[in-house]
Amino acid sequence: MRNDLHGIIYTLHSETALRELVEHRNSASIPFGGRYRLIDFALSAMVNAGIRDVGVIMERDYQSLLDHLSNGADWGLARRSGGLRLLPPFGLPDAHSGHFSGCMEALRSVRSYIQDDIPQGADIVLCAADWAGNIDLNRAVELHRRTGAEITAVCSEGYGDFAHHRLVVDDDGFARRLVFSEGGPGPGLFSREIYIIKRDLLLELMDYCSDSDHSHFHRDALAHYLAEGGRIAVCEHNQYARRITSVRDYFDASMELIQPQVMAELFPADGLPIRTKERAEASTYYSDTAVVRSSLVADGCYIEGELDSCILFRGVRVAKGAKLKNCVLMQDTVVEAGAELRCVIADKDCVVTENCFLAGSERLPLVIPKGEKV
Amino acid sequence: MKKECIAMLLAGGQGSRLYALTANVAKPNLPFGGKYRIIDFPLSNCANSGIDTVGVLTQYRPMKLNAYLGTGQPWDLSADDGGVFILPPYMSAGEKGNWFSGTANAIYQNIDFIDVRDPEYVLILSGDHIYKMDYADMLREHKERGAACTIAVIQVGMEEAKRFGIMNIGADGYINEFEEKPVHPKSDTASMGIYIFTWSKLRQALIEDEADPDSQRDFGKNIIPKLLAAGEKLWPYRFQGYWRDVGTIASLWDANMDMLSQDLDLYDQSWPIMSRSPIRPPHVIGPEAAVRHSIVTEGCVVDGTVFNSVLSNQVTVEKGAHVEYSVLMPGAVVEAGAEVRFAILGENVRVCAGAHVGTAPDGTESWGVATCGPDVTVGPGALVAPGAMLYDDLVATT
Repeated sequence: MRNDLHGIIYTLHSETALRELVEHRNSASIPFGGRYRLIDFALSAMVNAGIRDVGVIMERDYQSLLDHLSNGADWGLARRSGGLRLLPPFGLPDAHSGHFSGCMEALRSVRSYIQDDIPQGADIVLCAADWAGNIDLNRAVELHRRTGAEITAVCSEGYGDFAHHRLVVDDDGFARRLVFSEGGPGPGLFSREIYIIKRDLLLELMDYCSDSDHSHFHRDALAHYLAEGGRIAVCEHNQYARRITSVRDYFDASMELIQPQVMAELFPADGLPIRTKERAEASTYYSDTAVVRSSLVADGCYIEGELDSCILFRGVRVAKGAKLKNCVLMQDTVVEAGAELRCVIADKDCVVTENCFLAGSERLPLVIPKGEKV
Repeated sequence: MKKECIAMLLAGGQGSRLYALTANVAKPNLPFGGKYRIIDFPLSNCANSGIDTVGVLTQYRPMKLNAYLGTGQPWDLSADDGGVFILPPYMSAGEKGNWFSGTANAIYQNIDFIDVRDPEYVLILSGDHIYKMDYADMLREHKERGAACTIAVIQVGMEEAKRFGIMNIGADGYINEFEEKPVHPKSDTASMGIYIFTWSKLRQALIEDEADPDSQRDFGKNIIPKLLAAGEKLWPYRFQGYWRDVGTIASLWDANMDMLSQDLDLYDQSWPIMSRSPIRPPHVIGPEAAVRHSIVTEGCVVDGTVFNSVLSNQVTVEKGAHVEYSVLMPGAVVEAGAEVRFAILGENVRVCAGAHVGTAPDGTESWGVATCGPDVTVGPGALVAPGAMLYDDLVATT
């Protein structure tokens, strides 16, 4: 069914605290949760809300994102009408330097896409792709349409320990005040930075930012909209969701997945599915010597060693006698016999050779960059 | 559009010797080896061999199979000029039309489908075999030997030979005699039910066979003997490697156990077996679980012990439950304290707390793999005997 709802995901510069994890990729394509990339959560939320047109704005380091998204078929977005639209810099006549100082500037670079391919009167779901969560946008869309709001925000209780924005909600359920937080608690609700916004309003705000040489969505566009008497409907989402802004964050979020409650909120058995790129894989095999507990393991792994509190992506091999505790091993990484790893994040295609001992700490996990042999 | 070789996959059989497991689904659609369904093997072999057009002949309970195949995209078989085509029996003008009355008749009724593709060769496959084979190599031999038909054969041992269609081979290397399930086999060279025909020869043979009122319309029983009698060249393509017909409960269970000992390498990325997977997260192994010598698939949650078993997607083994030497199909649940040994649990079977399904071999005649058909619930504390075939829910007798 047509619902006049469109999606735009922006994948701009990655937080530097993500270090090796973003050496070869944008934060949107960081592998997470054993078989996903972060962008899968935003894309799935959109597809699960019936969105059939999604534009992905890319700025830099997007090769791995291109590989991952391909034609969008795995998200049901390989379509004749609409579907997935990849929007690299320099791709449209509006683009300029290829470096965006903020979301509004990035949107400006794809202005012709918004103006020509998204019909007047439509709503746009706008969000970043550096978070993991299973967000039911249907609720937010329903609220947006029922209240007749021009902008609806998805917000949570609590706070982030990174710079974020908060919305103070009035008694009538609308927010009219936007607060910036350097991190930690503050007034109002924590903005998940997922907005439903009327396409025509978005174009107006883009014009405003362009004319006044502003480039930020919250600081400039939203603040201007509120200052002019605007109001934002707020849809609360208090299920599991978190932004991933540093290596430590990444590690903590990965270890949280081992808690059944987090798994149940992120991947509810009968709820909205998180889609990702499919791979031809066998099931995972555990040998006679395998000892496994409290772990999350994708298909195609071959386990002969010991795992305790680990996240294994597709195609990982752990040889006999290897001992792993609190580790994240990404696609096709191999841990050879007798190796011992603690608090290690091994990126894709790494090899940890025989009897190698590596340990990070929970506060400072050790990251093995993509393709390295240790 | 002209194709050199297309495949016709016979997927219409009921699989009656699998009883409750195939009461509602066609055999090719049965889960196998964790992630797969049986039909994934021939379909993946086609894709890996460069055959891009596969007609799938369906007849018995095809709905789930049709849904599983979809456009053929998971097997890379959704090209513009090829693809997977589901071919059920159909009616023609004047209300003429029939069910497929045999394997040969199924192809006969689809001569038009094949003619449109105008192939030189047609590959005939079964939907109930577990193996990896390069059909391109078989086709190469077929062409080199100038054969009308090439039949894939495997040595099965003289003991087993009487269960198979046996090919006797002359001094020139060509097949000179075919015997269906011989009482006194002359050799152990068995047909695998995989044929490549030169289409013009097969087309002719099918039309002649249709005119024969005594024919059973079967490739093994009728078409092959007729080609031999007509003096056509039949070449045996000798296959070495893992191959199993999974037509019975015992063979289905055995073949699943073979996957545990890696008799067929499913991890070899140069010949991937592809499948359509439900969208599920990685599997979760709980803090008190133990998993050894087992296959576990995405979407499973294991909090109990699992030894020597094959778990398809979304299987749950609760805390304190024990599973060994068993095959658990998608969605099966083994509740706390339940035990499942030497058993096959169909899709969505629930073994309630304290129930027992199957036991280890005890040397008695009545021992066998215990089987629970799809959607069956084994009530709390109930007991399913070894060798039992459970079609309906079972409540514990007091």
